[in-house]
Amino acid sequence: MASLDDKHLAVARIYSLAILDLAERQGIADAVGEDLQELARYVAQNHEFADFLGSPLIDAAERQAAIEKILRGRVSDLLVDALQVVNRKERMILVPAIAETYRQELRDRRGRVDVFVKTPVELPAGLRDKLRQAVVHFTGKQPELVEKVDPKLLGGMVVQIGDDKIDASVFSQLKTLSEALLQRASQEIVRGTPYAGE
Amino acid sequence: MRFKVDEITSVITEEIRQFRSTVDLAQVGKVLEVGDGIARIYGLSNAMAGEQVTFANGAAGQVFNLEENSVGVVILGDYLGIREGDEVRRTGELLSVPCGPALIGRVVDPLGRPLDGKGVIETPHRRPLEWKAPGIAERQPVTEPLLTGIKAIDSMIPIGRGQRELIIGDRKTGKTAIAIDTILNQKGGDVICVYVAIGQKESTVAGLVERLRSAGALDYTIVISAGSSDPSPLQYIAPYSGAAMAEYFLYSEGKATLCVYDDLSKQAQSYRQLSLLLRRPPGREAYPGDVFYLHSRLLERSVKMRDEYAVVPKDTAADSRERKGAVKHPQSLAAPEDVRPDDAFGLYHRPHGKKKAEAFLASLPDQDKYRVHRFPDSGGSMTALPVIETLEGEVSAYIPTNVISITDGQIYLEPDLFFAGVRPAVNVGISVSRVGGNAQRKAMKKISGSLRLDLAAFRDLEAFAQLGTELDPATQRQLDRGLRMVELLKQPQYQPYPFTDEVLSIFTGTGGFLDDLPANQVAKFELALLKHFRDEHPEIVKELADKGELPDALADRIRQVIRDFKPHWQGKAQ
Repeated sequence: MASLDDKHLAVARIYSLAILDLAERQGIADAVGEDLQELARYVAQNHEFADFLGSPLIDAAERQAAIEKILRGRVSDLLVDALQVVNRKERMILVPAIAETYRQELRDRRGRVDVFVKTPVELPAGLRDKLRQAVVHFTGKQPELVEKVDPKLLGGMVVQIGDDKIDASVFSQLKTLSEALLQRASQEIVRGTPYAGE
Repeated sequence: MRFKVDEITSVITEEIRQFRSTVDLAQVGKVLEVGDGIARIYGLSNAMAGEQVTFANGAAGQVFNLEENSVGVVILGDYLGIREGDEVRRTGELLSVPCGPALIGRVVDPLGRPLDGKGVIETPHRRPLEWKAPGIAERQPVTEPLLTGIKAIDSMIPIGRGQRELIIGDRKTGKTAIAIDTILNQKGGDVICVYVAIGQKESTVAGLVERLRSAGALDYTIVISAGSSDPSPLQYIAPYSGAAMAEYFLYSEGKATLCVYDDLSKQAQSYRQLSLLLRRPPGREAYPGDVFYLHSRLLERSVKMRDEYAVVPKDTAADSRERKGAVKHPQSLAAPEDVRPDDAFGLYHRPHGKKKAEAFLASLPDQDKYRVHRFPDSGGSMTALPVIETLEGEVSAYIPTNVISITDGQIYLEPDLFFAGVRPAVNVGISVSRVGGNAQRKAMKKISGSLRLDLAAFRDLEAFAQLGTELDPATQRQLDRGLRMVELLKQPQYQPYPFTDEVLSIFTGTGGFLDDLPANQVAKFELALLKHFRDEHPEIVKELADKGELPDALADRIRQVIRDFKPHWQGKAQ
């Protein structure tokens, strides 16, 4: 199935912008977004369905009937119609990419930002609020926290907002310390000077 | 050996006490796909073209392609240890290499990491890999010679400091030998040499380093090696890295440098490899469209920088680099021609600038308080000897024609000559030096004036004479002379000649003193004669070396010595 590579994302962005504009006008942008995510998840899990959408061996008319049967009534009419257009253009392979770009675009328009938080233990509620405030202060956007517990960190936390990563974990500090010790040892070996002490 | 536990503990305690915990802030991306030295990264949305990035396994990378949703990165190191989903960090800096005096005598990879097992290179200096070449105003014409110690080259295809002279030829024709001889010949001089080995066998490079070491040439040489087993990105950056290391001495210390890029055809091939892997469109011979720029931007960095003079207060330090201390002419750029400074800072440029500065000093009322100062970091040079390997003598292939058109001349080596025993196998007919003539010392210029044309004429005659026709005496004489000059210009590898030996030797040949000797005796006679000059007439050798000129009086004395020596030698030989 289609990977989320550059070309796919570039084309998918055009479709998703169109769908998003229409959905916003009808006031159902969030619902459409959730439906799209659901669909993308299903495609990712179900290879046969992915092949059905992506294969050029299957006639567009057949696919049109199938989409009508599966989705009409269950999701908004707007989304079904949009998918029919995508189908007519033989672009059903783009569905996961459309879902992803739709999500990104909607997130940006709502002034929200994904924040990935890694902690050694479950994030305490008080800290979570503090973190939210800090992110709002830092980015001016509403955070959507994606939390993950990783005992390897030992302490502290790692926060990633977009490309910016803030690593205040004990694990990385220990690593820095061990590198500093190694560096010093190798320099002393090269210079041939033993540790002078205090 | 016994370890003292206390001591080790105290070292570690100390280190921990001094450790300040800091929050690590970085911009990161994720590896989407990786292979063949190339990675595509998701994220890194603020990355610059040419920026250095770091992979999770410690390998460095350079940002090459900025695409809509991803970044194409070339990996300068072990790409087998990088996996999909690994983190990649921005460094916020363009790719740079360590440089400075600490690198001299070392063998390093293109990122400046030691390969010789002599430990960490500690130097505070770094320079960016890519550096824009100086413009017209900062340059000065090439006028000083860079002697290769090879008779055939110094006499007929002279190389000047700041020149770019291509060494081109098929495989196994002695291209590297010329470059190495040139490096060996800089011994005792003021030139810093950088030898860049690109895509060569490690064993070859090891042998070469050993040769340089045993000749004492590593004392002023840096060797950079990107072997044929290194990833192609490393081979691609190697010459830029060599140029950056030389530029330190050129710009910060005003020294003369020599860079050998051995060879640029392999570098072009590795650039082709990574360009194709990055899906850049292929052009002629499948090289990417910017393969000309690849070499032109490298070779443009070869330069002879202008000398800078200024009138400064007498107590200024001799090694002062402070341009602000210069005494400015009150009329500045509107001053009369003979004292007019060359820029608004009151500096005088290039050799004629020295005279103007002196004239300005003389015009000052309190001139004994000032002196003319030459800035020690001005006037440096970088001479480049790029090497190109041709296939079956095909100089009209893509890369050879490109580099021929970029350089200031080429030394063309021919397999036919090589196997006929003419070594160095220089084809003097199609080898040229476009700027070196101005850089020749007077003595050499005087004796070698018509040598190149004579030898080319001899090659034509030789072909004609093989037809077995009867020849008139004049033609026969020309043939005899040519034959002996060819013998005289043969020279064994790793034996660069000092300037004086070169002059005396060629003077003997062009003066016709060899014409009556059997051709196979020429080399022996030359050696004996040069020894005779050194032992019995050191004053002539000294005069020649000091002045670099050959006035008629000195030429007559040399002629007389040769005339006296010849019967003596012939008597001994029989």
